[in-house]
Amino acid sequence: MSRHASLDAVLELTDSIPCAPHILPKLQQSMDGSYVTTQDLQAIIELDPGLAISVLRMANSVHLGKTQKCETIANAILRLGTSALSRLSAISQAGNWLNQPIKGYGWDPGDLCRHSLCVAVSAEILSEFNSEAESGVAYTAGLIHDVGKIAMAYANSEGLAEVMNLVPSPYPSWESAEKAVLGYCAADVSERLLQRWGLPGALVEVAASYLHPSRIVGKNRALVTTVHAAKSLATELGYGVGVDGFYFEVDEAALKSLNFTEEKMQACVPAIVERMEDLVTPEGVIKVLS
Amino acid sequence: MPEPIFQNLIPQRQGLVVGVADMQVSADPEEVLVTYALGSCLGITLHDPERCIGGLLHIMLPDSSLHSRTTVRPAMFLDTGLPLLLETVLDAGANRRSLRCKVFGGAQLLSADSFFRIGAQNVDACYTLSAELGLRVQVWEVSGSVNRTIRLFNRTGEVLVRVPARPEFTR
Repeated sequence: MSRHASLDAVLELTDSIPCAPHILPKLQQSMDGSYVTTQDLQAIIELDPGLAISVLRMANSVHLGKTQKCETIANAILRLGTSALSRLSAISQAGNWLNQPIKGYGWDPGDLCRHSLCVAVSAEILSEFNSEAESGVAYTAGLIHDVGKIAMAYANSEGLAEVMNLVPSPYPSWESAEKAVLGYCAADVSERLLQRWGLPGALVEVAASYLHPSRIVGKNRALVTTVHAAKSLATELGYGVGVDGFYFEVDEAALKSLNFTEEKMQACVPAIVERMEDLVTPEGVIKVLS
Repeated sequence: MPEPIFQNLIPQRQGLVVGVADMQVSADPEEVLVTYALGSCLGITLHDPERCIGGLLHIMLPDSSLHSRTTVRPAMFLDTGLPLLLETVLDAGANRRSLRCKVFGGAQLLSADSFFRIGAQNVDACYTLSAELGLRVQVWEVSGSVNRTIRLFNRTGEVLVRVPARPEFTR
């Protein structure tokens, strides 16, 4: 019997994913203004994994009675309307996990947010480059792909310290060490959380399998592979990469099956960095619309 | 009860910040030049210890000629960035014969045989180019699977290296 929190215990501890402290006030301020466009709201919400998940959860709630799931923030905003978003912004909580360094994954303040943003931007640019996945969905999937790590960092910091000591030897990948120590990994947590919150199957499948896109059979394989490529590029670029960051295996078979090559992906790097410069200061602070 | 997850660390954000694909040079002995989260990129310092003049470059890719963009940012690529850093440090008054070079970064993903070898390519290219430019490289703190943040102290030329969840160290 593991002495660490079980997967079910981690899920029970995670009611919601908090929003970045400096982004939430901006959203609330925008909602209070006399005129705000959906594009303005989208630009703010797409900066933060916690806000993105809250909006997607609400838009895909059974209470709305819609059968078609929303996979992008733009669609979610259109479905909800500004009054529902106003309620959401009022009840959302700013998370102090973004104010301070966090043990477990070795994050500095804001690291996961910066990394998620870079994966989102990379996924969007890569999907535009090879046209294999819808770019808006790829962005959203990239933004929330590591949501399980937030829950893990809160519930299992002691277990993650043990994991850190087992990587790269005897376990070469962080995922394999998490499974050995805890019995599950962050991707398992992500999958269960997003399922529990009613998010679309495509986003759940990315969060569950972005480390191993070759295992996917079916229509979401291109999307999962695109996020895998984006994750790898974003890790190489270093934005918000914690102690676990480099310890995963590249799924070369999946990348080749989608006609990715190293040259093609490197060609996207300047565009990714320029887009990140629009969103993040050199000091690492995420820019919110003024 | 889960253990508190916050560490009692104050993030160090002071100093002259060098962004990704960026470069800074300073002749102020009290200046600290910093660049964050190198990943597979390289952070290269040039420092004249006699005059306390230092420069820091954060390049992403080895070869500008492989990128057909209309406007190439010199500091984005090693082949254009390192000569520019050298020229700028010399223009600031550094003595070429006194210059000390240190190289950081170039981290690599696991099992990357034919993809995501940017780190190794950057390091290999830097070995070649630094020799061609006649630079005396004192420190190669490169490769591995860690994300490095570096700070160059202009007074001494020492570089403080920070990696996630490990103690800082000086090179």
